[in-house]
Amino acid sequence: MNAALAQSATRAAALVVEGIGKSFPAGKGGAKGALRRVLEEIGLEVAPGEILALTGPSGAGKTTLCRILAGLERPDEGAVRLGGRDLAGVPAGRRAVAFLFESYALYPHLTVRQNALSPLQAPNAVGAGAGRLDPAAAERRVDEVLELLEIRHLDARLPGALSGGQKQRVALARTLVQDPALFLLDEPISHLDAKLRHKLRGEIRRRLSAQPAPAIWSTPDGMEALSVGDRVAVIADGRIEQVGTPEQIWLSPVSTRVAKLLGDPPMNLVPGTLAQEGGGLSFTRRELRLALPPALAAAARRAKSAEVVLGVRPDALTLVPPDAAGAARAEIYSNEPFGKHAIVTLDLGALLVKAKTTMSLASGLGDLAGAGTGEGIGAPVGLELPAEGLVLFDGPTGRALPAA
Amino acid sequence: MAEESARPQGSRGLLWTSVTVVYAAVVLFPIFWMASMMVKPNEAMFARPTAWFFTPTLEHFDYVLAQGFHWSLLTSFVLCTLSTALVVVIGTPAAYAFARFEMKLKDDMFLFILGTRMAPPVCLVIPFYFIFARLNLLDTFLGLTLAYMTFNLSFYIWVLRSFCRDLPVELEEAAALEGWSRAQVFRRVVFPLLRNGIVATAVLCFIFAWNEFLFAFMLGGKAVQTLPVSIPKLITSQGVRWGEMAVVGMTALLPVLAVVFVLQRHIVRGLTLGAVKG
Repeated sequence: MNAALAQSATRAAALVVEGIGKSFPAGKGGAKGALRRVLEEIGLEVAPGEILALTGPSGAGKTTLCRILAGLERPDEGAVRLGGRDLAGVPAGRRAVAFLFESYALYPHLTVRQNALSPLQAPNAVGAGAGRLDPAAAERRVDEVLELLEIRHLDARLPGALSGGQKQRVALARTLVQDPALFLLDEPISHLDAKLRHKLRGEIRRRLSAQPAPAIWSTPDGMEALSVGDRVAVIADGRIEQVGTPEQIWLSPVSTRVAKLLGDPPMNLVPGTLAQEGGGLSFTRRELRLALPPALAAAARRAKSAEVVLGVRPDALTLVPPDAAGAARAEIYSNEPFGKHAIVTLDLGALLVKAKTTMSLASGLGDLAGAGTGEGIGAPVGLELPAEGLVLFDGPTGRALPAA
Repeated sequence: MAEESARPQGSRGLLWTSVTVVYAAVVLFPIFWMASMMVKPNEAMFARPTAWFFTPTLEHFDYVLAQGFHWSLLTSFVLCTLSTALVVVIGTPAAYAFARFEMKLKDDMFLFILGTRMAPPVCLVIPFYFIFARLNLLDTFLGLTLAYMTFNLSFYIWVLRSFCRDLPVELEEAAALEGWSRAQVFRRVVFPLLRNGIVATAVLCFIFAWNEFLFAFMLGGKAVQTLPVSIPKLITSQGVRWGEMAVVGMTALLPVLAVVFVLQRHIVRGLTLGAVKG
């Protein structure tokens, strides 16, 4: 059975997930026998060598989905296929899956090297085509991966003597030494510091792309998902919200849920109403008014309700003096300088909106607002909406209104 | 190290140190007294005023050896080792199963197992006597081993289950995913991580068995005579042989001390529950 899977690994088989559903007992507080639905109708396809980034807020079901694919949980319904073969009856140890646990799951009594070697020594060892790697080759591969992750000098340490980031790299090493039929990385770099995260994101992506096996990379960080995935699947409340290339997800999120998850800071969502104005449609929220550009107006006409939500990226907003014509008045709520850019939070009347501006503008905000020098917190300022890069969502459902 | 730096400073530290020293002296004095009695001549035993200095004698040791008390020591040792070993062999998988697997009536079974430990031993010893008499198990190694297992096994399973529960299940899942079989996962991952817990719990079981009197007295006594049961023989028609009693008592103390001393590292780690982190 394993030989067949290893074969299919070298042939590079696609992963197909169809209609997966899963419920767990509701647990304490719930009635006895009550179930909590954690996954519903999950369908995915991952091509050989492709990295699918799985992103969603914590509790969305990412880990449960990974565990089902690995064979650690049984789905209530649906099927997992690898290279056309149904995995329903295949136990976890024979699926040839390289799994990275979010909790690292390092063996505390084994050294870093022994931890990384473990999957290569197992009798049903994952990968390397037919059968196990010979010990010398296994050692060489471990050396190479430890080197890549910059933990070679720690190889004689026990996990208890490592920092969190080091532990995560050991877990990563233990995953990357394998040559599996499927990679499952459950939040592989979430606990690393920013510097290492940037370095490893590229390294891991490079390594996974060179492998024939499909890979799933789960992360609660939408931006990480966009940067590592060939395609991105957004999951929320146990359902797939959207699957697409990073560009599709970024430019046309299908729902406010997806929009909220992506961006740094995420997309501003401004609830308002549609109104007929002259020949076209306009979006209104209090004194904020925007004549919709043709493409958006076409989308707006399909809206079932006049209640809509306008999505606008923080970097598309422009700050102008408060008395500028056509600008909405807002109050400066906070001003965070980042050096390369600044994030200014604006109070738009019971709604906080974030704008990403240049540093020079942010440091002179007080000037702009006519309130003297300084950050200008509390001072009024004008806000201009761009004509492009806007997304319109249906108010009641939160679904994006399809443009043209 | 950490304890050093955490030590209270100045007069408070001094106060605590003296309290500890006084407490230790109170606790250790009877043991010191017993040790001194081992080599005290009978004339000095209850001398008033207390004889702190005397010429040591080995006559109590001679008597104890002549009376064959060393055989009781051996019996105790074999019996306790045997029953503890069986408890570990049977109890470890049982505790693991209770911690990990879903089964029907699990909680009820667990409570039932613990229940064997709830009744006062004296309630159990009478039925044991009748059953053992029927099965010809009275005064046999097998019989006493079985009897000790009934109360140690429940204790062992109960304690070790919590050790098993503290093991992150993901360690076993990770090993299974790597392609290790269930038996290999147990040997490579579960057992090494449980070792301290097993040792600590087994030592407690050994000590319980070692100090046990009632069962050994009722169900054994002649052919199979443990050390605690042999001690009353020193209350003779000519009087109580205090010196010999001290010798046997100290001898009974030493193996336990030795076991604890040798395995100290495991016991301390084992008793600080939840020490395993992934």
